[in-house]
Amino acid sequence: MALSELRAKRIIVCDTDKCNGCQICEFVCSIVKDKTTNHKRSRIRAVRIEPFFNIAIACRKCEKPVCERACPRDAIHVLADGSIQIDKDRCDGCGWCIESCEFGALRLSFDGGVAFTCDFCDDLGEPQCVKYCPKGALKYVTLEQAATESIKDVLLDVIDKGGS
Amino acid sequence: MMKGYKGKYLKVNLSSGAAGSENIEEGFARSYIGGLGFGARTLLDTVPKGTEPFSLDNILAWWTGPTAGTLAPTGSKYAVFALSPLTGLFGFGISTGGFGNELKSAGWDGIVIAGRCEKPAYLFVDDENAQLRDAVNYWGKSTWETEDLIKEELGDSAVRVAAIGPAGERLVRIGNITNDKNRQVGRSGMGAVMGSKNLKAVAVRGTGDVEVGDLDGLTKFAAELNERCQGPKTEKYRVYGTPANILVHNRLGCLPSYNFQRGTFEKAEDVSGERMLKTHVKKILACTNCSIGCDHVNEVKEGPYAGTVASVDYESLGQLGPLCGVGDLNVITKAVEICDKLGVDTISAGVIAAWAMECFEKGLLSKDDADGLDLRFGNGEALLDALNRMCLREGKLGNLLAEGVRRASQTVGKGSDKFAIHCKGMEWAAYSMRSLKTSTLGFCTSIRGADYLRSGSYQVDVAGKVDRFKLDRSRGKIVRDGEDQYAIIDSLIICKFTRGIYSSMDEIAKLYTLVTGIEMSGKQMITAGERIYNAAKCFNVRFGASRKDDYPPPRAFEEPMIDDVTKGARITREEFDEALDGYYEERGWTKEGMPTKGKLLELGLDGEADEVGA
Amino acid sequence: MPEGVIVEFTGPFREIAQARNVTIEIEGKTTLEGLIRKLSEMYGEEFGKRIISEEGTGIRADSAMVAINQRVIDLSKALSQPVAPGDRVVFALAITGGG
Repeated sequence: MALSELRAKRIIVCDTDKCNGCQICEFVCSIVKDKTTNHKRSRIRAVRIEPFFNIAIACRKCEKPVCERACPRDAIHVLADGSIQIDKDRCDGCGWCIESCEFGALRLSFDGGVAFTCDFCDDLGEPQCVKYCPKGALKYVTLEQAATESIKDVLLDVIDKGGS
Repeated sequence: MMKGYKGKYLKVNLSSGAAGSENIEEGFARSYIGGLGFGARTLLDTVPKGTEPFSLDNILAWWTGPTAGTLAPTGSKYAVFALSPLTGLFGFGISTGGFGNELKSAGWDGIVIAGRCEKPAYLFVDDENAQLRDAVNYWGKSTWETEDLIKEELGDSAVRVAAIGPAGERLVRIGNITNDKNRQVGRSGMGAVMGSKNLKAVAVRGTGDVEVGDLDGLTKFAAELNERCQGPKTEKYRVYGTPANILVHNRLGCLPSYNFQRGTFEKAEDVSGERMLKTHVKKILACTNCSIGCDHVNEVKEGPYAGTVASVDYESLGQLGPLCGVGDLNVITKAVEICDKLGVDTISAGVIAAWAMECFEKGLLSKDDADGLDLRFGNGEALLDALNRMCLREGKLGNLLAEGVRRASQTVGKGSDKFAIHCKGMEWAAYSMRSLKTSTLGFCTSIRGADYLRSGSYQVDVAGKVDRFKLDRSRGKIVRDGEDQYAIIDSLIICKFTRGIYSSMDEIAKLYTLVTGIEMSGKQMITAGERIYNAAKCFNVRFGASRKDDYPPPRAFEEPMIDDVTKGARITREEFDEALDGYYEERGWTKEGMPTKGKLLELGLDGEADEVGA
Repeated sequence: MPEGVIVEFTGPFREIAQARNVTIEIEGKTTLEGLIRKLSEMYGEEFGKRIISEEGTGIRADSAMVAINQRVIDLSKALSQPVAPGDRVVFALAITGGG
């Protein structure tokens, strides 16, 4: 990726303090992308690890995507903004990409048995899961922005507790 | 093809192992809506007079509403129905988490279960398929462990599991069902009925789409509703959780303490929602498809119960805390954990324990009767031990308490029934009897026994809309209206915590129409609610309920309150009878509390008109 | 000698006031509205906003509960409720279900 594109790369980040496991992101995704309600069609995946941990993860736009390298059918391409495109005609649903992604960002479609992943709602301007997250846990930001927010959260916490 | 609904349910016979699909017609859906309505109809149609709750012939019915599996806020609910082993009447409970959504996605509106397994088994509903799988190795395990083990066995952590604990297995009459760890079908002993059928759990995996009447319309409306859910009408749930009630109830003298002897608790601050948020709440979780998020999960940080994790709400806190004289959040959190993992209703458990404590202090239970425990109010250790025994039917005490407060007090006798605080055998929830009188009326007319979830009538008392210290005939309408509205909420099924975000029944009817494509006005919804409530009532009449069962316990009438703020408060028989008369009149029932033939025919309950119509 | 109205805070009102209770001195009687105005002066806009509806005509029934001497005040008639020295006023979130 060109440096300018790298800096501008935005992904969906999830604040695990705010994420409470409601899964509304998953429902919205299914409705927006597949015009039906079925959270197992969602491109963003809500994960709950007992008893307290909740997160929702979507494609991370990896620099050297494992999924692209893994695909034996050359069906996976990386676009300029780092997101993944899957050629439906070449994909035969072997699922190797699904297995290799450490973030569980790919899924196998019920329609036609091909792999799919998040396209960040590029046709709508912003990821809809981010828009509808009731607790504001999801944000569509650059990693720099995400890092700055994390630092701010920690600092505000310290200041709150009387440090300076 | 039906929208919202799947138009079919799974019919299972545990004795023969047979399972099949049965249809639901639109006319049926329109009349009974779903959830509570479907459950009432099922019990009426399948559980004849004379059935015993633990017998082979009791039916266990699981129903979702049309909202499950859709974006309708908080729709991921399910309800379980059976003849209750606690009350001998209409038994049911509603739970949330992800189970309701999963069942609908699997392709089913519900599951109706008959018969009994020869050996412990669990039902696995895998989309369109159903199988009974061996649960012998899970028998005796806690609800949490069972859920984890079944997910491991099936190799899928996305499977949803609703399980009983050892309490349900051992037919503890308040045995409940737990799903997704923190959610329960809590009251009326549905877990015990499962136990009597050797059914350890129901697991479900659903991968299917759920179609609705108007997807765009529903999506827009849901987005708007979820916005309202972030506003002031739900603030209490989101921030403090329902434990915010503790200090307020205490100030008003309506926080039941010491087995309902008093309405205030000297350690209220120590067990308040404000304190709990500071010292114990580790995270606030949400159910599937809920934008409010009210589940306050505690973690005990120090002391002998360090590491305990449990979801604590007002009722659990109130009944295992102040009601038992316990003012320690560590003990209370541990008590909730015991009840949740072993599988009993925390409300009933607290009331039963508090009754036992009063018996012990009055010398009606000896130390030997109490298995050597020093079962006094405030003794946290003894409370935890007693709960354990109750859940496992251990010892003299355990077996006594496992029967519920009504039977336990009948066994002990010696006047202990005077302070066995229940109605119809269901233990009283954490709302004072004598200083919230409209609440009490609602508790007594509730078809499930002492609970406010059928009418929410405590609301007018605590909002100052009426004089909470004085009943009159007009309260009947308040209770009746509440019951009809809540019957709809419990049939759709949506969360009562969202009731404040809808401007009227018309908006709720709009939700129904967007989900199902079936035109329905607010007025028609209310009529359906009236029909559903009357149907449940008819089931109770079949099993012998009448006016005599619609009264609070003697303590409400005979013992004036001693708290400063509510000194002298008690209910007189005259005022209660008048209010009850007013309620029956509103309902169009006889003075004996029996639905009339005319009323039942008006509601389309023809069979019931013949059978029980007065 | 002015006697006080004992005001108790629970829930978010406690956070705003940073106190469990406070005694407000008044001369003679006032109304609940008058009391709230005084509390808003002491604790800032936030307090008033929590209690008084946007139109300024009544109490926000959706989220607040007020009790005077253990009598819960019907919020639609609340602002004109008389408050006298020696009264005990509690501010709380609306009571709703128990879960």
